[in-house]
Amino acid sequence: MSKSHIYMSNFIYQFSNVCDKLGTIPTPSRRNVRFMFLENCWYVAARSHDVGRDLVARTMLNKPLVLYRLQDGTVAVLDDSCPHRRLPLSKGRLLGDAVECGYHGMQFDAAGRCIAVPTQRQIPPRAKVRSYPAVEKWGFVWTWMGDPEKADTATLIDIPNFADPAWGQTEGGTLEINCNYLWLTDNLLDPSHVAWVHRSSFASPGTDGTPLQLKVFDGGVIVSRWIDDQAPPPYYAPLVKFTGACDRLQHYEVRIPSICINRSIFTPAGTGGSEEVLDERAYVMVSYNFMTPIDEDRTAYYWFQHYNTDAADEQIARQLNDGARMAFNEDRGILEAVHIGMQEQTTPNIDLGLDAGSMRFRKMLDQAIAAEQAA
Amino acid sequence: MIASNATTAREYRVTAKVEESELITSFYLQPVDAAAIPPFLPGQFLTLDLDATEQAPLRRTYSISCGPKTKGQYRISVKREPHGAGSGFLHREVKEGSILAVHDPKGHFVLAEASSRPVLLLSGGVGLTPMVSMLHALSEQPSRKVWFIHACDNGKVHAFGNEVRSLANRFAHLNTHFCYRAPAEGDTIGRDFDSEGLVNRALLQRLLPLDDYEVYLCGPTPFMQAMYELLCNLGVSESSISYEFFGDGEPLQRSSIDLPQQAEPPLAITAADAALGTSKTPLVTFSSSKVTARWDPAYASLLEFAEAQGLAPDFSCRSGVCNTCECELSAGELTYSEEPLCEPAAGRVLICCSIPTSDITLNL
Repeated sequence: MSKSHIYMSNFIYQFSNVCDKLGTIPTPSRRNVRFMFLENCWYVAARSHDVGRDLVARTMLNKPLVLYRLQDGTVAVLDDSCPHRRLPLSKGRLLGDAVECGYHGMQFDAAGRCIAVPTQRQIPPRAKVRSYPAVEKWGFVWTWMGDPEKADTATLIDIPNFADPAWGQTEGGTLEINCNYLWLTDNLLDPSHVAWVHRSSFASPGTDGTPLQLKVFDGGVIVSRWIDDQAPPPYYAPLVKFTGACDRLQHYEVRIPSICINRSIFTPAGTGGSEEVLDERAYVMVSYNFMTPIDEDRTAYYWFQHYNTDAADEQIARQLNDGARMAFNEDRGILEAVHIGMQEQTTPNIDLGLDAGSMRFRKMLDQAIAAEQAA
Repeated sequence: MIASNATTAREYRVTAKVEESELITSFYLQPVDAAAIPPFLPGQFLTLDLDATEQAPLRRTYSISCGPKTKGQYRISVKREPHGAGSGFLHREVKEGSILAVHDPKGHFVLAEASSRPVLLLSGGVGLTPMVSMLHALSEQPSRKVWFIHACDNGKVHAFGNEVRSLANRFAHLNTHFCYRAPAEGDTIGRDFDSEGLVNRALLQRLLPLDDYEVYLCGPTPFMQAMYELLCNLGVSESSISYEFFGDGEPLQRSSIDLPQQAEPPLAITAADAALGTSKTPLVTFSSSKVTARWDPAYASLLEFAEAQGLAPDFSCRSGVCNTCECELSAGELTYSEEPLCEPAAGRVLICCSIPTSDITLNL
């Protein structure tokens, strides 16, 4: 079977009867068949400080979930639906480590087992809700939506320098964006859009035309380029510690399922060209962006930034965070309209060379989803 | 690489901008780095990437109009088209001293210099530019009888009149005939032009004895259609007629008009290959366009190569992901420099990310 057959069969598997395939990117247009996501992987369910001793409702991959913190501080994630009359459990209350349904008081523990049922002593064997593996790391609650047997914390992303006191970090944030998450992964493999969408922040001369390098690796795609000898763009200018022109790296990396790492390096003009060997004056900023599909039309966008300067300067951290939020809102305006535009298109859209990275990532993810569904 | 450029263009400085007629202006081009210019064969064209807009450069091809022995510079001669973005930019914006991005000479509409047969250079309008280059080359072949016949509206739009006439005055084997469709006030027969009206059967019969001419034909499409039929009716064999289309200010286009085409690659290819030193690379045939050319490894893809031959295949991403450039591979083999995202069906290929590994035929 040729590669193209595998690829196309994924589309058919995922999108038959749900998409009007125009151009090369299928977009869901009807609601009678489930949009497929990769499930055997970790997604960010919440920021750690969002989850405490009350019930938090979150939808991920089209599944309503309820999150809460146990008395030992760990986090439980359950289907947000009482098996009796399907009232969301998040409308009930937390009793110790158990959730009590707000309709008839059925109680479920953190593993989803029913531990109390009204008016009868015997607990029906089918009275249970699904619980999901959850783990906290890097300031986030991560949840495994697939087979719990396969949940492996070793597959969580590593964040180098996270504990390094010399590195600064922004508080980060959350945005709910009304578009399919793949428009966001596309966007985060696309250094070119910066020149038009982020004129006041990330754009600098050369972001419009410099050719891109594409690297496909096992589990992800990197689109990158060095732009030589330019002034730093407005967002970065106050942060770079040397004066004069910069060589600038834009490194856009997306890993399965939807982890987007955006690495920017500004180094004195003439010293750029290598990510591995850096001039000691080089300014490095890594933006970590985690996309969690809420459903096929909505995405929870979590991010924070990490940089090799100004570790103790809270004002800089705030400025950076505000700047990032502003830029991501610029993306939001574009991508929500793209989501609608692509759904409503009546003639095929086209792809450009700058789409090669995102198209290859989409294919890689499609193959992973198909393999998971076939297993 | 996602965005691969075509063969790298070199920077050339415009050393002179000369008005040849009301419509045609010549540009003399010297490399900015003062290095030697690549040689060319009479009839070949240059490809220019013009920064005429803020978007991607406009790619345009223009015939070289100077003789191949010209040292150190090229001359192209460009007709200003009413709505031509490329020609308009050149005429309006480009001045002496301007820098242009120019690719090496290309094209297989070239004079067969190894031949000893008599030659008819038959042109209409701006189609004379490659003929002027050929005429310079032929001036050094005194054993060949040459007729340079040129048709145009009148003296105002007649380019290279003096240059062609003075060549013919110096070399007895060169003969000229200028035919004005509608002479303007002041145009004098016998001095500026030789006949009035259209090039017709009687004129050709009168000028050309029953010789075994090699014909080179270039001009507007209706002119070429008429001349082709005329020549065939006069008994000139189709295989003796080489021709090239000009789009109106657009890149060279092989039109779909129903001219019978040379069944075989033009003889000129052999000479061109020898001169270009590319004889060991595969032969690429674009069958619908009736174009065959030696693969040039300077090109990153068959798509770029096709464009350099004057074809305009459909495309979008140019990086193997959108399949817009998919076409039929009728014969031969190629290899992908970038694997197609969706492999095309059996017998079909993407030309934006592939190069030939054998002689190949593409249905383009």
